[in-house]
Amino acid sequence: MDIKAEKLTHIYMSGSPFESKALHEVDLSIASGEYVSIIGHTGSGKSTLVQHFNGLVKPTSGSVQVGNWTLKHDTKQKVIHPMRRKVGMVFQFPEHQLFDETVESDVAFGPINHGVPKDEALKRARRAIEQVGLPQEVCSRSPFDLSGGQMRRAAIAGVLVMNPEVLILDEPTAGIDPQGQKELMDMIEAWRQDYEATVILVTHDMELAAKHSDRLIIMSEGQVAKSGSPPTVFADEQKLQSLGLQLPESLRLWKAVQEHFGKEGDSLPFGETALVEHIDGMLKGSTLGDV
Amino acid sequence: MFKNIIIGQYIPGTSMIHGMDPRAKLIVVFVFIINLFIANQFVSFSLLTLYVLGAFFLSKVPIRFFLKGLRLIAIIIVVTFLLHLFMTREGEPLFSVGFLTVYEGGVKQGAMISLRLFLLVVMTSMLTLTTTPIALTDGLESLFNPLKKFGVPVYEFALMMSISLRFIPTLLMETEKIMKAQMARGANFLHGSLVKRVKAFVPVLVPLFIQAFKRADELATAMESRGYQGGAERTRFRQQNWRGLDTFVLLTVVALMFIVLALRWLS
Ligand SMILES: Nc1ncnc2c1ncn2[C@@H]1O[C@H](COP(=O)(O)OP(=O)(O)OP(=O)(O)O)[C@@H](O)[C@H]1O
Ligand SMILES: [Mg+2]
Repeated sequence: MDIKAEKLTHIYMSGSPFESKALHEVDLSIASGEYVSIIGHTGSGKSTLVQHFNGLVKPTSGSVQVGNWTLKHDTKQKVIHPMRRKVGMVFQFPEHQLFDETVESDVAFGPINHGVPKDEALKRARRAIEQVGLPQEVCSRSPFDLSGGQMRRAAIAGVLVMNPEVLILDEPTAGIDPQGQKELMDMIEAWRQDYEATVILVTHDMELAAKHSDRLIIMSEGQVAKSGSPPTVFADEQKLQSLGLQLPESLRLWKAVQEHFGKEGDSLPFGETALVEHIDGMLKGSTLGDV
Repeated sequence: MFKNIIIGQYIPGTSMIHGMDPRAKLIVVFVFIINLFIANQFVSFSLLTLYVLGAFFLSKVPIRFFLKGLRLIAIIIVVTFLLHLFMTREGEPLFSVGFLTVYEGGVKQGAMISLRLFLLVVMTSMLTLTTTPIALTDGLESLFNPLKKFGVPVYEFALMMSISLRFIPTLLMETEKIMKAQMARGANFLHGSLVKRVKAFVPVLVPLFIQAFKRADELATAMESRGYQGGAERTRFRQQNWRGLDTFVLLTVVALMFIVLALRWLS
């Protein structure tokens, strides 16, 4: 499912003294199967933008096209409901949405809302719980007895269970340890490859964004400031800095190392492993690059 | 989502009314409400209406915003008016619609009660629209301070009130966020039978309460670990300061009270 925003503008509390413009005439498109990261300063409109993609907020003006659905300021709730089955959304701190008595019935909440019979929903729930790497025995436990990291996985299972064609993650790794972050992102990566889904990741973590995504979209003050593959975006360091963003750590170190040895290279390392390989390759005198 | 309710909202501003001492505003509104219930003459009501209009224009609250926020109240007022109109059987019968007869007393009674209600709502929202909740709490606390002598835990009540007020926006935000998260999973709060819609709120209320209790617990721990003690004599960060203007406004509303009282006795 392709996603396309045209002149998308969103104003919160329009017509009151508290009016605030979150998005201003945003044009962008995301192709089916793409892995896109949206980055930007706090308050730049990232969350507002992605919430349009499954109709949680409606445009003040302009439109959003998701597959065959078009969302405008007057689109009816009835039209939006089926769209939410295809577009899954994992909010920041998704564990705050858990409510049911057992993990499996909580995970089954989505499919049941979309009319899947209870037995079938529970079956799918157990599969989703397995997919996120939780042991089967948690199925019948209360979600509130799980650890923080397990709760987050359970909550994400509650979204994956609907087999969305587009998965939106709003800062999914906030507040978990680096190891947990890596596991979570790898789990998403594996899921994406199985289901060939589109993934839209909102994050503050440049490294994460660069490592996993095909394309970066940088938001600034409610507009798209830059969009392109990680290397092209990171090539323009000055622009990044003017937007209040920094290069990923691995890149900064790589640049320093290159400068130190007076060498130049085309490819860029994202993440620790790639960085180590790059440096290793350079020191051994091989050609820079191929990772 | 909650944008059409203005009761309890605060609009930042620099008007004369914004600048008044919260204690003065509280007393003025209180006296004004007494006036509303003393008033029983057309002239009195006109004076009171003018007073409210004056306050409104001095406060510089945007009129469109204000009217929008009154929509819900307007329904209540209209219903009240209609009830009195048809239920009161006093004075001359004016006309009848079907089995309902409208009497002169009904019109008077209905008009008076709904005008009272309207002025009351506008005046109290003038107070809350121009005073931060915290300033209001401080004002209330110092007005009730004398009650401490009789063992009333004024300070604790004020603290409870300011904490609750502080967390109302947080709770609203949280509610919106959880509702969105459940809507993203296909929850439907707008359609279906009443029972269904009420039931749909369980997945919102459970996480909301869990969050609220957690937060209360954390707040209590944070306060205790910083050595908070309820009764301790503490100074204030926000000083209240009663000026000539406050006395003047208070005098106007008291003068109004005398007029309204006199009109009532004379009638
Ligand atoms: N529910 C809301 N009501 C009113 N204004 C809002 C609301 N949500 C966001 N805003 C405003 O809209 C703007 C964009 O907010 P948004 O949440 O989209 O930013 P963000 O890029 O996701 O930020 P962060 O990185 O902090 O999550 C901000 O100025 C914010 O204050
Ligand atoms: Mg956000």
